[in-house]
Amino acid sequence: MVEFDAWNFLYPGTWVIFIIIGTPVYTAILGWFLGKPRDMEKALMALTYLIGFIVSMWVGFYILTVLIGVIFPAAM
Amino acid sequence: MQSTSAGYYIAFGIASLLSVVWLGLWAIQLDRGLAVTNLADWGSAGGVTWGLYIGAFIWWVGIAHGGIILSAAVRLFGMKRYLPVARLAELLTIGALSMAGFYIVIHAGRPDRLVTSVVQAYPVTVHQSPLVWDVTVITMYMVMTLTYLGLTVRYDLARLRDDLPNILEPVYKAATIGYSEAEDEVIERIVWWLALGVIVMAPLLLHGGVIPWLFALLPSMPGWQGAIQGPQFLTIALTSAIAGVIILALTVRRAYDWYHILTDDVIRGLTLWLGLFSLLFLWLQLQQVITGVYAAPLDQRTLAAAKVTNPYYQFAIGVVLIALAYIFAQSVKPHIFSVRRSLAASVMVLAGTLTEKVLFVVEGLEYPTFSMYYNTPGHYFPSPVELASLAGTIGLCALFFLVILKVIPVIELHAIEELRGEGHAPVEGDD
Repeated sequence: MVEFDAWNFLYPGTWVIFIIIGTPVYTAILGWFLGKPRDMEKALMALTYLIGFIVSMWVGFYILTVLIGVIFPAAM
Repeated sequence: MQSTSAGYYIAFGIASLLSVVWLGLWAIQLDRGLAVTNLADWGSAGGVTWGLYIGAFIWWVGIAHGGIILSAAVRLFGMKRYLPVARLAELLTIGALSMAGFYIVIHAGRPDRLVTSVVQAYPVTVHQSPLVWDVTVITMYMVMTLTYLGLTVRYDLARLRDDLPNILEPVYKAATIGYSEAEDEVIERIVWWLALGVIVMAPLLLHGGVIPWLFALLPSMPGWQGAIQGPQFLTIALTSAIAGVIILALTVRRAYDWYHILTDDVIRGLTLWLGLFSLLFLWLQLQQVITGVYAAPLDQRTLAAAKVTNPYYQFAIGVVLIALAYIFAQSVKPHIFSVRRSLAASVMVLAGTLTEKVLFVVEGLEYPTFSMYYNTPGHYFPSPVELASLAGTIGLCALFFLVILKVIPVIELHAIEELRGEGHAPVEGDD
């Protein structure tokens, strides 16, 4: 007998992160674009801030990673 | 902002010294590995492999909450009384959250693992690993706070540009790109939506969510189990957060002579909030102690007995109780209130919450179900390297503030306009 198991196609993290945790973020972004007073240019600017900060944080970490690799090379 | 006192240089010197000493010790840890802390192996310290680093991580995330929640509450619920501390509080979020993130980097052993393990494997691990959820939510929290600050600071920078240091002109130009007065109303609305998102995500889904869920996943640790952990984490976070905001507000008020902006009234209000959250913190501790010491399953009873007899736990609860007693007394008899006492209460509360958080991590590991580590010798006590990390991160956070105080206005212009509009008279402080 084959039992139905939701985890087989929808892992907990998939809905915890992308549905539950994501909701406040999606709400804010939808509010920027659909809320009034509406200004697409400023909403896009805010989105650029948001994405810009994510990218700069992780690119910063990547640079740190490269630096650490140079300063503390892996033992041969 | 443009003039620098001797006190500033002294504070800068001390903060730099603490930071440099810690960075030096961290370099030793990077070179020799986590073995320098005894956290790298299972065979000593009673089986404890997560210690002060993880406890301090939770503590810093907790402090970070006060900032943005206070600021968001000002916007969402119109609590204009706290507008003067709103930006300081946002900056506290950024400073404290950076320190929390730094602790993850420190505890990861090799910091490059964050990129090589977390980022590369993200599409696979996010579906199952709470550690990756943690990194995701902290990133979003940090980014939303930065966006919040980045958008609100445009108004102030555009108006105060002539009074700001010329050397940073390119920074201000970039930060106010495309600014026009017409945007104020729209930006205020955008920030309102952002505040709504943050006030739900940070307390309910990060500190009262992903972080305690992460612990609860380790099935043989009774100290980390149970649905009470989320609310417990959250109350401790809010308690430390308000304490952090009080300390910061009083420090800045003294340094800049801002008694008329950060009035005693604001500090009194924050002190009452500190009291409310301390009460909730103690209440949830009581829940855990009572259900643990009396007729509980064996594993929980062992843990609860270890907890209540631990002098550090007694210290943590004791200092919060004393702070709460003061807050209650001053609300009954207002003459008992003084900003110095509120400052002392805040420092005590922060010491208590840090101790509780480290104990939560350490005792959780030391008292597993079936006494799995019965034959593992020793007890955990933070190594000098770990203790230095505390002083170092406090130093780094102080440095962050000392630099930012010279770069952007730390009190929103809206707050000053509000005060002028209402004609508040300067109030003399007693510190």
